[in-house]
Amino acid sequence: MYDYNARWYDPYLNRFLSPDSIVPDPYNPIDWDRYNYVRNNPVKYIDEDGHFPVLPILAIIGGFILFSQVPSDQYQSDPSNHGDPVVMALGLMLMTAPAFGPGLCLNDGNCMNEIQAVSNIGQGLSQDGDPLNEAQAVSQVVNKGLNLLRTNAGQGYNSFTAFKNAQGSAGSGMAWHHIVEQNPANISRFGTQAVNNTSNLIRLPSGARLLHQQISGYYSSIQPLVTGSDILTVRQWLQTKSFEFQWKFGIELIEKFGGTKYILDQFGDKAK
Amino acid sequence: MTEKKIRNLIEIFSRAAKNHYEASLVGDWRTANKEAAIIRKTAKKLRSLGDEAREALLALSESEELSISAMAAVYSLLYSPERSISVLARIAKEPGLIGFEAEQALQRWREGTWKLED
Repeated sequence: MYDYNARWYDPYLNRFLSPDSIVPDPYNPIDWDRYNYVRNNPVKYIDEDGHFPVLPILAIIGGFILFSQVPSDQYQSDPSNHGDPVVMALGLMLMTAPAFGPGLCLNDGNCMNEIQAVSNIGQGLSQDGDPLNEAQAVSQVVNKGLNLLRTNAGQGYNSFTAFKNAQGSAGSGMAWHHIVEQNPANISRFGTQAVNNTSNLIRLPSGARLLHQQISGYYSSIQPLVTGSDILTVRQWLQTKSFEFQWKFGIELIEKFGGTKYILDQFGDKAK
Repeated sequence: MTEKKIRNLIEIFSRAAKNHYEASLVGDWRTANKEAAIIRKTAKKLRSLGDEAREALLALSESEELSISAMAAVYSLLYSPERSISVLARIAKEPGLIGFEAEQALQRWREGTWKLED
């Protein structure tokens, strides 16, 4: 554990243990993930105070500037562009491509242990005649899933295509369903690795009026009871919420649409 | 005259609430949003007709059809929070989507993020 003044950093998780109390650059989408370390690019940046990613060369220059009594905000670097959303999107793509590897846990046995722990719940349910009822079982699976999210232990990919290439197709009559939707707002706020992550994708039946389409349709609809608004769609309302809020909402919705089996299957022993 | 108008509006509201829920269940968002617009406009007209119309909407929250009851309750929350919350709390215990939606409505109300009737 390392003390970075503003907060503690866990080298095992490759994450800070608490969110940044500030967003270093509100124009930079990756800075809205307030747990990331140096914009997920430790090769390029260093962090001296727990708040700001700084290019090492600029840190040195900054040191000189500091000695010269120049106001401190001048030694913060910002590798991205400002203002133009197209340029911002390009900046994000260029920035994240080298920083994100093919998966956060590819070489991490402990991550797989977490996933296996989730699998064991599903296995116990289906094969051991476990006395846990279905609701309790789902609750446990959901809690395990939340732990995966909170510890960033799922396996992430740089795109949905990369995810499918690695994890395979969802199977006949099924589709991979993002629990937290893959939309521009979520990609911008949380990054592709969080959205295209093994803890965020679940196989659901796909076809006209089947679960995948039912839930996607629900997100496109106006639901006054759910949102407290009769103007916003569920999707528009959700896009300002945290990743965890959206994930819990998405899982519960699958359950309420009768998809409990698929939640358990996804995290159970039968998971491919 | 006003009484008949209120009765008509309550009928329109009831039909739209039921259609909205049924469309939502099958993911038919186009129909759901069309019905949501009817619900919004009808509720606004009812509000403009004063307490008698508001009372009629509140009475609708006692409907046996839960989709109608829940929608009438959320559009009566600002007018009569106690009775509306009581209706929503009862529906929230129901299994399935309607129970989930009623629970969500109570959560939004508690959070203070309620936007209906603004």
